[in-house]
Amino acid sequence: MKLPLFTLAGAALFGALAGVLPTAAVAGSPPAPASTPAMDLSVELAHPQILAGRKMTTYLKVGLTGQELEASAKRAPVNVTIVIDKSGSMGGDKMVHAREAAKQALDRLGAGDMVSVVAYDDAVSLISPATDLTDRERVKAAIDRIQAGGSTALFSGISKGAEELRRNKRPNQVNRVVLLSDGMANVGPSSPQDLGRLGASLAKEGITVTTLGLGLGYNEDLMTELALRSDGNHAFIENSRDLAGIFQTEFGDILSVVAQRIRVRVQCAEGVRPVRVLGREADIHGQDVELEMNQIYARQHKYLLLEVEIPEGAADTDAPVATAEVTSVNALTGAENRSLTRSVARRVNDPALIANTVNKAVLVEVARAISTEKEALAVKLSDEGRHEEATKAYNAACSWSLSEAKRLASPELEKLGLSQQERLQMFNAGGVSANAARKMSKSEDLKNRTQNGLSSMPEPKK
Amino acid sequence: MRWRFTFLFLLMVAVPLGLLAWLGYMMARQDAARVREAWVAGLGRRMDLVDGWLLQEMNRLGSDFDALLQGAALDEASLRTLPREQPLIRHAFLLDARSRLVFPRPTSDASGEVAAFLRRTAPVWESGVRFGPQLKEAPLVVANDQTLDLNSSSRWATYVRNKEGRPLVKGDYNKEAPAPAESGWHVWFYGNGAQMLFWQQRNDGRVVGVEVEMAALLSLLVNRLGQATASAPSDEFWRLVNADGAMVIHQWGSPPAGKPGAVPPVGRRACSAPLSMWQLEAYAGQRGMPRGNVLPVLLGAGAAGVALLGLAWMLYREGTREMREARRRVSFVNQVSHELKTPLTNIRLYAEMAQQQAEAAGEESVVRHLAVVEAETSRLGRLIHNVLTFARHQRDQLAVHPQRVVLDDLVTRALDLWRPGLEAKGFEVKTDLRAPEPFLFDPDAVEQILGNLLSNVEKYAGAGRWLRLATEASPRTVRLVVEDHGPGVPKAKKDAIFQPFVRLRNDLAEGASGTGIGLAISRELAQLHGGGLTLDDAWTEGARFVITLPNKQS
Repeated sequence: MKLPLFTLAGAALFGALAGVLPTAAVAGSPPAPASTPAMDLSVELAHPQILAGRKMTTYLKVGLTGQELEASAKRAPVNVTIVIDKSGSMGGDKMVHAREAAKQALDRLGAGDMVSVVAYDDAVSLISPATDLTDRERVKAAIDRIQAGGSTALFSGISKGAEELRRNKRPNQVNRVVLLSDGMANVGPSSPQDLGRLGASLAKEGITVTTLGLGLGYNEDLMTELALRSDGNHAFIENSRDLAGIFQTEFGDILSVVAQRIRVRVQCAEGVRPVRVLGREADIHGQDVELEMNQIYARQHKYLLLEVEIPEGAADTDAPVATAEVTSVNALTGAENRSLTRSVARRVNDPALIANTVNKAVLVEVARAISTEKEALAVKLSDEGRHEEATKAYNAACSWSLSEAKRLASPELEKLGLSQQERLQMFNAGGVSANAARKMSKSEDLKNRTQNGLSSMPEPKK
Repeated sequence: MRWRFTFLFLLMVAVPLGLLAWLGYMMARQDAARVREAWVAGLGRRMDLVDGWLLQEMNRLGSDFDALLQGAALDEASLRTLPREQPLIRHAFLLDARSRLVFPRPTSDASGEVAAFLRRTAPVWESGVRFGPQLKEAPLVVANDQTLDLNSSSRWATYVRNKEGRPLVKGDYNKEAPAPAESGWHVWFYGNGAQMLFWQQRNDGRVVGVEVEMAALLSLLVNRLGQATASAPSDEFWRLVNADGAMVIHQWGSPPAGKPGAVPPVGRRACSAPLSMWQLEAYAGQRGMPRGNVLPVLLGAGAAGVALLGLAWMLYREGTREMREARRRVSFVNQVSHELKTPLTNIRLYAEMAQQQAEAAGEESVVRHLAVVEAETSRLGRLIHNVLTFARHQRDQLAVHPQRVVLDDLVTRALDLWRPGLEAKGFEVKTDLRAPEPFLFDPDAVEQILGNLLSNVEKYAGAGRWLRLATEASPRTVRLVVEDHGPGVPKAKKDAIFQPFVRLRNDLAEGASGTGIGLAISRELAQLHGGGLTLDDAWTEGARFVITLPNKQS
């Protein structure tokens, strides 16, 4: 007898095997259907005009924007597992709100959607196996029966959640695990690295994990790492009353997925050196930079920022920079889209012209990425117990954001800088406040790096 | 009396009860041990089963990896695609025929994932292991140490995949297919736990392999174990832990009473290769180790105990009923005896006077009638005497008052009183009196004894129609023997007859003619003299009572 679990894992293995052969991937791909692609691709340079006669470093931005879902249009069916931490600490209001939020979220789903509910404490238990929503009330009743108590087997919870998704995995479906936890994982693999690797592995199967951290007790490293590696959302929820709103936003995102399995491949032109990718962890080998994202939501803007070094050349010549190729699967139709855009810089002698043509939007994203890196450094220093250096790093991040905001006249950067200032104050206040600041930093970090984030983020306290 | 009852009670109730309790305890203990053994044995079998599932999973995974790698192209692009597509693969690698790393190239300027891979796998390449057929078949371990130890980063083990688990590609089965390549697992430690490689040797000696995504593998195994959870008995607690027990990979079942890790597991076994760096542990759940069901044993012992007590109580009641009745009778007689004594004496006195007058008047029939009156009166007097003596004995006031008397005279006088009654019943009365010398004894007491014995003869030995009274004196003792040819006393009752309220025959015909204290009082009186009253065993023709008195002269 073939075990269902393994059959699925095996299917994933072999299903992917077809894509192993490079010929199959390119030549074998069917021509894109005439329908409009689900997202727009833009390739921009921070400096479209560069100084001739010198080696120049600039930034290449490959931007993806999910298209607006038409109100009447059908959406892709979703396959969701809600994984709820029911350890002892979730008792009382938290569990009451969690149950309510989960039940309200269920109302967003419709025919063709699959849902399952998993809860874990010391061990994992299947609250409601994967089912379509013909009997919504039964699922809700099962959710109502969840009681808090015990310790936290987060790894098993996620594993079981993913398992339930696999049971009903179909192409053209949005697969999502929504994890709600307020604590540390203490049974099973529980390091951020381990959970990150699990997230990365799930992403390969097209499963995204959204992590919702409730209160001040959860392990934000673990939760953000899991979301980061699986291209999921993350939110720090200080008050369980906000849960319902967060669940609504999350389910809004899940329901508005327009494209999935997005692969961005930037092939740098000869002589152009890809230096590094900002924010995201992309694969750089030789001239190629590759990045994968699990999905893009309607109106969501995701991007890849690549620092490139363009070789010197004579004035008034074109410097080919890179070719960006994006393949994706339309979430609704299942059709594979492939778009290709070239990016070319113009070498000129006039510095004024260069300054005039600078692409401020790209520079804002670059500044944001750098600011995020600076803040991450502050968190890291603080973790190492180097409090003074951490404060300095926080200050550096703030002043960087604010000065860049002024230079680029960017209100978003200013907002970032101000929020960093808030976090700095909270960090300096120490204790619970510093804990909250760290969670906010982590969640902001994820949002800035992957452009994934739930909008009903709590406002920092005054 | 008292100690006899205590002894009987102990014998009948306490000892069997104690025995029963002990037996019950032993049975319960044996049962508990047996249940425990069976449970542990069952646990061992289930552990083997769980381990089997894990092994099965690894075998399937190995087969899949084998098939995947067999069909994989070995160019860089293909190898780079493998981990991108496969959830269970973290990185791919290629070794040339001389076991040198070809992909990814171990360059110093490697960055990102490649650099991380090289860091993680450095212990593998440094160990100098060569993947290939020179390694023996699994589950044989080819390692620098059989036990995988997390504490040392240099520990590793390589397992060649078992042929059973491999795809069936035989040379003579399909000539076109590539010859079976050797493949297997490699386990080493890096960072926070065990890492695994799957390797496959190609025909040209090159080795292609993949680094297993451990988190995904764990997730796979955890879900496989999750299916085991459903079928596990409810009151057990299981854990899959790494070798030093520091990290719990998965746990299921009902959490035990004690903290796992603090109490040793009931069962523990290392997983089969290639997962030997992990251990399965099983604990008793909340209710602890299963015990034998002691309830039936307790109930059985309890019921038997109650039955025994009931039986003892019934026997006791039965045994004491007669005694209580007799006691009541004596008590009543005792009360009335004092009242009867004086009128009785008067009756005797006047009866004797009337007898003398009748003799003088020559009225034979009146004399005979009066003789009967006198005999019956003396019988009544003896009865009352016995009762009063017994009452004194009960109050510890019984005493004898010795006088210098000739025994033979006393016997002759007493017999003269009895003779008419005995001869009327057809008794042949013989005497053999040889104690003519006077000595010190209480004549009233001896007369009472003799009266009791003769009364018994009259009552019970009527069938023998024979009575012999004998006395004999020695320098130290004087004996008085009363023999008859009656039914005698059964051997078993030889001692019992001397107990108060014991009568050999309890039939209604006997009526209330005796109180059952005669012999007891007689023996007591003889003993008070320093002598005794015994029943002679040697006499088989009837009953032979022997009164022994010390030949005291002063």
